[in-house]
Amino acid sequence: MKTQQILFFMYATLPFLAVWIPASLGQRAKSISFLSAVSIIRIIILIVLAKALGLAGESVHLSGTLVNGYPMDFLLKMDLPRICFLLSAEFCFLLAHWICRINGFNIFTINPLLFLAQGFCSLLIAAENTVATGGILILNGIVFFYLIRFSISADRKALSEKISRSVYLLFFMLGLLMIAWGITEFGERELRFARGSGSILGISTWILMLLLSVPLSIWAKWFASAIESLPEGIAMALVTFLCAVTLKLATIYGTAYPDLDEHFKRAFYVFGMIGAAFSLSGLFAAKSKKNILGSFPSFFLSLVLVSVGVSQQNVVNSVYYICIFVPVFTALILYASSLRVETGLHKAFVAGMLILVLGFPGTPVYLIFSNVGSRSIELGVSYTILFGLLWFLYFCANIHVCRKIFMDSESAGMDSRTGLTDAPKIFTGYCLFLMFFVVLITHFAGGLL
Amino acid sequence: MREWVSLIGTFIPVILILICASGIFESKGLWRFSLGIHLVSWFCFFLLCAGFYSGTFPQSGILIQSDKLAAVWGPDAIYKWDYISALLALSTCSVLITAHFISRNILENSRATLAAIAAYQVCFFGGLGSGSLVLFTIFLAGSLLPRFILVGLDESGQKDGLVREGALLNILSFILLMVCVLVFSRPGAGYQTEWFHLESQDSIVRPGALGFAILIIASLLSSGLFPFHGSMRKVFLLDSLERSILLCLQPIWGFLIMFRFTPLLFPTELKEYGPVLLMVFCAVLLISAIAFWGTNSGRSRVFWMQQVLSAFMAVGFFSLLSKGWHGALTLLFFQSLAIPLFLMVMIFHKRCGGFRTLEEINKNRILALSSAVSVLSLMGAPISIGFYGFLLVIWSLVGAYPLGLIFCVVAVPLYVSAGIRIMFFQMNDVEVDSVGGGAEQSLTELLSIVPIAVFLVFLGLIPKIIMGPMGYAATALMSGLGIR
Repeated sequence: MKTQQILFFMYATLPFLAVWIPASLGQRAKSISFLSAVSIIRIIILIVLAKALGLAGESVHLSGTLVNGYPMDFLLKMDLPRICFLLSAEFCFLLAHWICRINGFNIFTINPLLFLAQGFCSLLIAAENTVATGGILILNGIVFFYLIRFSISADRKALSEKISRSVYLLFFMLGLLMIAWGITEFGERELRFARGSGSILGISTWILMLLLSVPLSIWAKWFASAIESLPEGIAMALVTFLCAVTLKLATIYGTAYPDLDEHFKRAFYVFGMIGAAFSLSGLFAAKSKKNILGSFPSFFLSLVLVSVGVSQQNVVNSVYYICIFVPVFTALILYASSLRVETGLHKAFVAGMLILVLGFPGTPVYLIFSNVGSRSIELGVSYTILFGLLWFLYFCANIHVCRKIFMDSESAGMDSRTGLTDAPKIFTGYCLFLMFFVVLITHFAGGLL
Repeated sequence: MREWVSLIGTFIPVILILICASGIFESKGLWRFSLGIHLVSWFCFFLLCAGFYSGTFPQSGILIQSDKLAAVWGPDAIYKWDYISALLALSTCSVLITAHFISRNILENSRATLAAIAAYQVCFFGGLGSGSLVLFTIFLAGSLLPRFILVGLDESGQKDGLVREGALLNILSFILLMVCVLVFSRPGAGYQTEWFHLESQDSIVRPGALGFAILIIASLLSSGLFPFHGSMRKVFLLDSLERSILLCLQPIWGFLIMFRFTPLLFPTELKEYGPVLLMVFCAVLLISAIAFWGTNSGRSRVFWMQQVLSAFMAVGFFSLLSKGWHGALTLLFFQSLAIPLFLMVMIFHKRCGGFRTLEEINKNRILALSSAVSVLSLMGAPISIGFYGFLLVIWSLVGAYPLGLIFCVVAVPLYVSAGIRIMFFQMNDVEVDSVGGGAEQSLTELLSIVPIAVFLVFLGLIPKIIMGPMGYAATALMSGLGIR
């Protein structure tokens, strides 16, 4: 257990130590560099931890006191389901570092901020104390504020101000609500995530947090702007962190409110359906490749609300599948939006993308839809019909995407600003690896859950 | 030994006043001598803090009382240092040492400024260590003259108005304290805590309430808290912000009156009127947040940020809960570092013309990082100890004062969203000295603000270092006074 704790501690602190490594050590722009070793080491630690925890069937904890006399301990927990998500996130952050180095814009400032975002992402998933979770959310809001401002050039200053302000305010409000929720709901239980008191204020706060964490197209216009305008590495990091937040909030449901009233679940379902429908309709109306493909993350995150809406006493597995799948999927679609299909490797990538997106049996999309679908059938005719309509809409959207991006001769004029045009071949190979990885990890997570 | 340490730390700047007056040293030599004096002072208070932290000194504080003085003066000649006052003295010394580097040009060319700073410092530390209201009032009165000199030395065209308005409010505060001393504290005879009540047909006359009101108004005038913020406002309008660095610590005077003497003199009235005053200061908090939202000037921003901090401290104090007091004391210590740091960063931005492009920011990383730390700390981000202060004050209201909580819940997002405007190094809106943006700054001056910024971040990571003993001190203070 001590070894596991040491490994966990190394895993948690490594990005914060990497901030101090001079960025000049990672000068090789076109391939894996020295700085990428940090992410690779973290991935190795996670795999070793997974093996150790898998054998023992336990979890590993780390704790520390922030302030004496108050239940504001810093408590971290790592178990296998969390490791599954974190593995997916680490591969995405590794890719984000790589993409930022290929872009090269302001790399000496972007690198440390990206490491901070990476570190806070893992701490968020592992945190077991509401005040610590809220603090991490606020901190990461600050990190993304500066990441966005430093990654966009001066000629688009107004846009970077708008997006950064929205991101910071969102994470700040989430952090503030988390702390307030913790104090009111879990004040008697040392501010740790536990069974909630069931008060209306507490439930409403949690519902508000979950709704805010999902960038529904209805109110989160900033998300579409972010996917369209941010450099790919930063957009990927942002989506990964958003998935971490959504996963954290959605999975609290089973602990805090297992007996959630049906009315609230129905509200989640309705919001999720509306958000998904808006995302897909936005896809049909989008003009650029990035905008078309960028509607998918918003769609899948809306399905998190749908999943909570069809849950019983614990959230359905599709929430895990979505949160593990979306970061990798975002990376793949961002690359696909800049790809010019020339070589055999590119064609293999496109084929893999189509298989993933269309939801062939065994793919994460198939697992997500089958999970939600089976619960919808159990809930009755109306749920089944709505689900069927959604699936059909998704299928039509896929046809539209394939036609617009890969078959339409005018698609070349739809290119938006991208820094991946000159990405090396190994990049495509890595993306292919990510496709296989995400299929494997979702099946592994499904087996655990 | 420990008594001598505190006395040396407090009164050693008197030597500097004498040296300035005699003219033995000039210019650079005088600056170096002044720096040495302040370093000695800093070291003394560091030893004091270390003593409290290690448990060598009792949590109730160390009392310094001379039998000879007591025979003449009575029991009011008490000098008492506790952990909180030692910490505040240490933070003030740190700020002064940093200000020595930043204001070097001014200090080397102005003996009067050095002497005024030293005199103000002696009175400030004397006030921190005062165990009785009489002694405190004497030190407060003594601090008025150096304060007026520092304002009067400014080259602003409106300095006469600044001195006049500042003087009026500060003298009023002093007079009110004198009234309290003479009428309610009975110098030389200890404190009475039960005041007589006259009952007539229609009403009960309670002079204790009157005395309480006078003391609270005196403390608000001293701390410069809205609506008695006139004198504090003027501090940030000085032409040279370098002189404002020490003066911006003025709120500590007012809060010392609140924490140290109000519960001692008027515990009954404090318990009775505390909840009402808490609501008043919740409203003040909201007003300050709205004013911060509406302001466009860099100087006004730092002023209103200080007002928000001070309002939080007042709310924490009047909650009469140990959590609230703990949070308020934490914020008191926090603001003694954060506000001067912000002011110093503004000085650098003024000198270098501010940042206009990403290249300028990347070229001045030290200033950029210090700016980010100072702004984010004041906005209550979890990178510094201020976050825990804000959290404890708000937490103390949960369940006990729901209406006050609503004010805070509305004020905090307003305050933070207004602060976003200055998060990306736009601290200008102040007249700049340099034409070009991002002009080179002296490395020594820049590095001098780094220790304060690093210390604030360090405390944010390990807050229990400061907050642990502070919590014990707050709890002991409250239980000793019979307040829950």
